[in-house]
Amino acid sequence: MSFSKKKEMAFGIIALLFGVFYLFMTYQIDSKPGMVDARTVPKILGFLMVVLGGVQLFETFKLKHAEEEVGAIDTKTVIKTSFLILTYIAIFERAGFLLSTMIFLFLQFEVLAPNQMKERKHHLIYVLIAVLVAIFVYLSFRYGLKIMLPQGLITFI
Amino acid sequence: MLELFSQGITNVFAPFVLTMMFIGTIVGIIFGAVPGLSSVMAIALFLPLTYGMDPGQGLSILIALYIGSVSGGLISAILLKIPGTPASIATCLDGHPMLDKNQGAKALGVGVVFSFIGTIISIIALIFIAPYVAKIAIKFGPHEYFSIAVFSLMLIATLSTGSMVKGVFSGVLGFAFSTVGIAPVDAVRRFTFGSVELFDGFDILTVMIGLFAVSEVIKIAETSRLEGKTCVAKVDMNVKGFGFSIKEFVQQIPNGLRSSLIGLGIGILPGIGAGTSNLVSYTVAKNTCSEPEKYGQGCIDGIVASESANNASVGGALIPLMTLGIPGDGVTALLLGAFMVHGIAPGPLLFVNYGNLVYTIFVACIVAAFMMLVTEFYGMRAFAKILKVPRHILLPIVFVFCVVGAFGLSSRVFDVWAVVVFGVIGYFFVKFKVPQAPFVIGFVLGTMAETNLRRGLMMSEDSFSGFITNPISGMFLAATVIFLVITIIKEIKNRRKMTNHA
Repeated sequence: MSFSKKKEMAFGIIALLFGVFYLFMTYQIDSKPGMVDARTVPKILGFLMVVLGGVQLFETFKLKHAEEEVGAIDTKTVIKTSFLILTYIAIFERAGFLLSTMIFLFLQFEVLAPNQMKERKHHLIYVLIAVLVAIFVYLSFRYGLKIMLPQGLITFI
Repeated sequence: MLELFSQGITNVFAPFVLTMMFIGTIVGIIFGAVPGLSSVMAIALFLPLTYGMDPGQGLSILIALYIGSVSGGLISAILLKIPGTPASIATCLDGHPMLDKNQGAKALGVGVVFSFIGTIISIIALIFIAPYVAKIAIKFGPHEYFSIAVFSLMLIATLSTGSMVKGVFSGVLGFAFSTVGIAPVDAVRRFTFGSVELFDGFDILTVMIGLFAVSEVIKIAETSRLEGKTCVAKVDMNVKGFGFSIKEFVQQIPNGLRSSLIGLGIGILPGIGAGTSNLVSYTVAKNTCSEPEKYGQGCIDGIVASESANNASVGGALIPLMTLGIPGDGVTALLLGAFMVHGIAPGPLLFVNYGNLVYTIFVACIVAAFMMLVTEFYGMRAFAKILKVPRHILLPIVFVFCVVGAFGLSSRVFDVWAVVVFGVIGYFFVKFKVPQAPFVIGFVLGTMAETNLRRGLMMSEDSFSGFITNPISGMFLAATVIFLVITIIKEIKNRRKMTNHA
């Protein structure tokens, strides 16, 4: 058992809260006369989630000691990556597939690159890969597979 | 049947399909081999390509990816001592010691050949068992489907690894997400928050791609910058044939056969597959062997047990998928989505209405097995080099394909957002050590369970008795209750033991 007690507890709380939220939303569903309607199954599910969250919390209170997790986690990179992903999707349609993908790929390569792979030649390679992949995917989907990706700002190809 | 087979052969042996399958096999092997890349990612990568193809072509390619990726894990299991996928954990145990004894080529050869044998055995089983299951299943009504769905849900939630509370929660949460949209039978809107896009609920493909592929991309960020260079062992591949003698091969036949059957059986059960079967069959092989002490020291028996079992799970997992529409794991859930993109629902009717497609898939499985055998062994040197592929370049590209795949479903950014939301959920699952598979199965079987519950109740005028008096349905419900009680008793006993020790 190498798992911190805090996390176990956090999981229990999230599960419980989500269950309560889901149950609350369930009671907003239109109800129709009869024993079983569109609310029935969600009610059961919401109830189960609340119970499971409760059991999880109860178990963690009983847990006397739990070891801390080992291994370093690079939180900064995780946050940067999440930010990049969200921005990419947010501009995906407006800026178009080509432009947004090029920018996303290049920045994402840079963010994820291990420290020893950040010399000048690497940056150039990243730019090249980002541009080529974006163009290749765009053209092959648009003309080869007839899947139209958002054109956005770059309208000439 | 023979006529359908020959149609299947014609469909698969078209130059375009063969070429794509060949590429698929290679990509599958690479994704299986490189730790951190998975079968689901390989399929997510190719999925958008198949949207425009006919279903037979598309599924043949995805099958090639699936078979390649399950087998590819053995390469890193032997050369890096890191299993490329959970399917080849047991392969490490004997694979690496053999490498240390300078028998790397032999270990790889045995692994590849028995991967092939396991695949073929399970496909033969698939070809013979599936049509019969479909024949029985075609008579199933809402009562049977409801009970089978409930039974499968219970099985996956309790059998998945880790804490039972988390496994069950994961399944229930998946079920809860399946209730978003228009309700079955009475078409009431649920959890749509006034958004038109939520009326149809979430697409299974967005759930899968997010949960299994996008979450991994986020996870890789945790360690990517801290990584050093991977060291791949050099292996002299100049050996005759596959590196082992005919006598050794004959000796391994009983072991290979038994392990394949274990793999097949585990593959059929929903929720567990190659990731479990390789460990189970390794343990069984070790326990039934006259000299169990040689296991772990580098004997080929261990590799045979692990590799034939994990590949045999492929054919096993396809049986419930094709005959009942029940996916057993992440990859088969993606395949289910791939069927549905083409407007085809897997199930017993598949065998009646799309016999041609069914046999195309069978033939594709066999062809993919041969492609895997040949490319994996003769391309081993190349694959060993690819293990060093920089993941910080590959994963963002995989992510772009995930986005394209989601967008291509119906050209709306909504699906891309859905992928990201499920990616975040998947990442939290990984962080909190909650198994992801029950979520997916809950999502798929949830709709099935609810729809059939409501239909069944309508048939019996709101009385639940129909579910118990129907023999097949009653049997599955009884099995569900019995299994649940046993699991809970076991769980409580385990907890007591743990608290006593603490």
